Amino acid sequence: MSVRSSTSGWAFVAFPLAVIAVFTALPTVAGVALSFFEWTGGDRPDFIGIENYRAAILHDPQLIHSLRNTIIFGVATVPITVILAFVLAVALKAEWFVGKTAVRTIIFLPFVISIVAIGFVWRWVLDPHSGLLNMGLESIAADRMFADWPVPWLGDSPWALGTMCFVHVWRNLGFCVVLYLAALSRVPRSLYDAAGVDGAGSWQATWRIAWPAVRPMTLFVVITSSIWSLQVFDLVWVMTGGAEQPWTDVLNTHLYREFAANRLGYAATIGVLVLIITAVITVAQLRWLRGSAEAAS
Amino acid sequence: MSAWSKPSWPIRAAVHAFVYILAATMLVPFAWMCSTSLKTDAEAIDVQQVALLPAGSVSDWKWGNYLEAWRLAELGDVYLNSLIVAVVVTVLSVLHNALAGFAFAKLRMTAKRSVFIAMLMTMMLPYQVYFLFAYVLCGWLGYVDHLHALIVPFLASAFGIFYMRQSIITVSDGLLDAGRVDGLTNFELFWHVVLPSIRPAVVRTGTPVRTPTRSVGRLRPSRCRWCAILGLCSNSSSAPVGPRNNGPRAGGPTAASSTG
Repeated sequence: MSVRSSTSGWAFVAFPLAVIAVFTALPTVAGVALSFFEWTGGDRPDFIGIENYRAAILHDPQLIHSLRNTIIFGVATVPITVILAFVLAVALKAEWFVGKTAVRTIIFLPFVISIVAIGFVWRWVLDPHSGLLNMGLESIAADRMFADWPVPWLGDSPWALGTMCFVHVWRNLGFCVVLYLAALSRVPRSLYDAAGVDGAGSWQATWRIAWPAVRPMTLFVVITSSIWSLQVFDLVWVMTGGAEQPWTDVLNTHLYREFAANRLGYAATIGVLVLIITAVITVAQLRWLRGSAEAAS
Repeated sequence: MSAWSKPSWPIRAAVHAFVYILAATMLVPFAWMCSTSLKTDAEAIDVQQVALLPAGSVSDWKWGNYLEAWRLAELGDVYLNSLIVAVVVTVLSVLHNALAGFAFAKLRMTAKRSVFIAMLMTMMLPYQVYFLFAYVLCGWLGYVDHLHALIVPFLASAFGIFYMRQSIITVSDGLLDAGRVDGLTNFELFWHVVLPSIRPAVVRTGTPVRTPTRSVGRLRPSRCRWCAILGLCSNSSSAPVGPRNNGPRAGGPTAASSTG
C-alpha cells in the first residue's frame, strides 16, 4: 500500500458492493425496520414503536432460555472448531502423515451433505431406545455410568445442547480444515527452514511459526464460526422437531416459531437481537485479533 | 514442516489415531445414508433391527431407489437448472469477490474499514427476516419463476469478499510494489499477480460454492429456501430442494437423492 496507483479501489468494489447493497443490505435494513411494526403478513404493518422490544424483554421467558442456549452454543463451538481445525490442518500437512487425501476428503464430507439429511441421521443415531449410540453404550455396559438411563440425547436436557454442539462442530470442521490447509500452503517454507537452523522442534514450528502466519485466516474462521453458531437453525430444528423446550431452543428457532405464528414484527425483533449480539461479538473479535487484519510477515 | 522436525513415533502414532477416529465418525452417517438408500422402505424405517447393510445379496439391494428418486423429484430438469446456476454463479461470484477482496486488502479507499464492517454486518441478521424482504424485492424485479432469482442475488457475497480479503492479505506488499514500479495497473496486478497466488484458496472454496445448497456461510440455508420458494415451477427449481419437496415419503428414495 505504499506506492500510489491511478485506479481507485472503489472501481473494484463498485459492482460487488452494489449487488450486496441491493440484495442483502436493503432487506436487512427493512428487516430491522420491521421490528418496530406489528404485522401478521396480511394487510399493512402497524407501527407500534418499541412495544415489541418491551414484550421481548419483559414478557418472554422463552427468549431468555433461547438467549442462554445460543450463547452457550457459541462459546462451546467456536474455540473448539478453530483449534481443532488448525491442529487437523497441520497434521494433514505434515510430511509423515499417511493417507492425507483420503482423510481430507472424508473430513469434508459432512459439510457437503444436506443439513436436513445430517439432522435426520443423527436423530436416528441418538434415539434413546434404538439408536446406535445407546445400543453401543449398552453393549459395553457403559450405561451404568449414567444416573437415569436412557439418556435423552435430544430431549429437554442439557445433554441435548451438548449433542447439538457436537454435531454442529462435526459438520463445520471439514470446511474450516480446508480453509486452514489453503492458508498453510501459503506459508513460505523458508520460515520453517530458518527455524530449523535455529534448532526449533516441530511443536515450536507449529505454534511459533504456522499459527501466527495464518492469523488472517484465523480471524476469518473465528468470525464466520461465530456467525454460524449464533445463527444456527436448521440443525436444531431438524434434530428437535422445533419443540419449544427450554434446553434446546436457540434464538433462531424461537424466531422461526414466531414467524410461523404470523407475528412477523416480533420475529424481526428477535432478529435484531441476534444482529446486535453478533455485531458486538464480531467487533470484539476484530479488536482482539487486530494486527491480523494486516499482513502477517 | 520439513523432514528434520519429525516428531517421535508415539506422537506420530497418536496423531494418526486421533485423526483416523475423527474421520471414522465423519464416515459413519454417510455410510448409513448410502446403505439406507439401497434398502426397501420397510427396512429403512425399521428401528428394531438396525442393519448396516441391506438384506440379501448385492443384486437384491434396491438400486431402483435412485431411479425412483430421480423420477419423483424430476431431478433431470432440476439438475440441469442446478448446473446452469452453479456454473454461472461460481465463476462470476468468485471473480467479483476476488476483485472486491483485493481492493479491501491492498488498495487505498476512503472509509475502507467502515464500509468493510458495514458489509460484515449484513451477514449478521438471521436469514428468515432478511429473506422475507429479499423475496419481495425479487418479486418486484420480476425475477421470481426465473433462474435470475437464483443467480443475481448471489453474484457477490459478503462472506466471499471477506474470505478473499483474508487470503489476499497474505500476498506480500513488496511484490505488488514491484509490479507497480514495473508499470502494471491495479487490474493487471490483480489478474497476473494476486489471482495465481491465491489459486489454491479459490479452487478449494469454489467447490463448495458450486451447488446451491452446497454454498457457504449464511447463504447456505437461505439458498435452500430461496430455491424452494423462488423456483416455484419445476423447471426452475434446483436439485437440492427436489428431495425436500417430496417430504420423507420413503426413506429409501430420499436417502438416495441426498446421496446424489
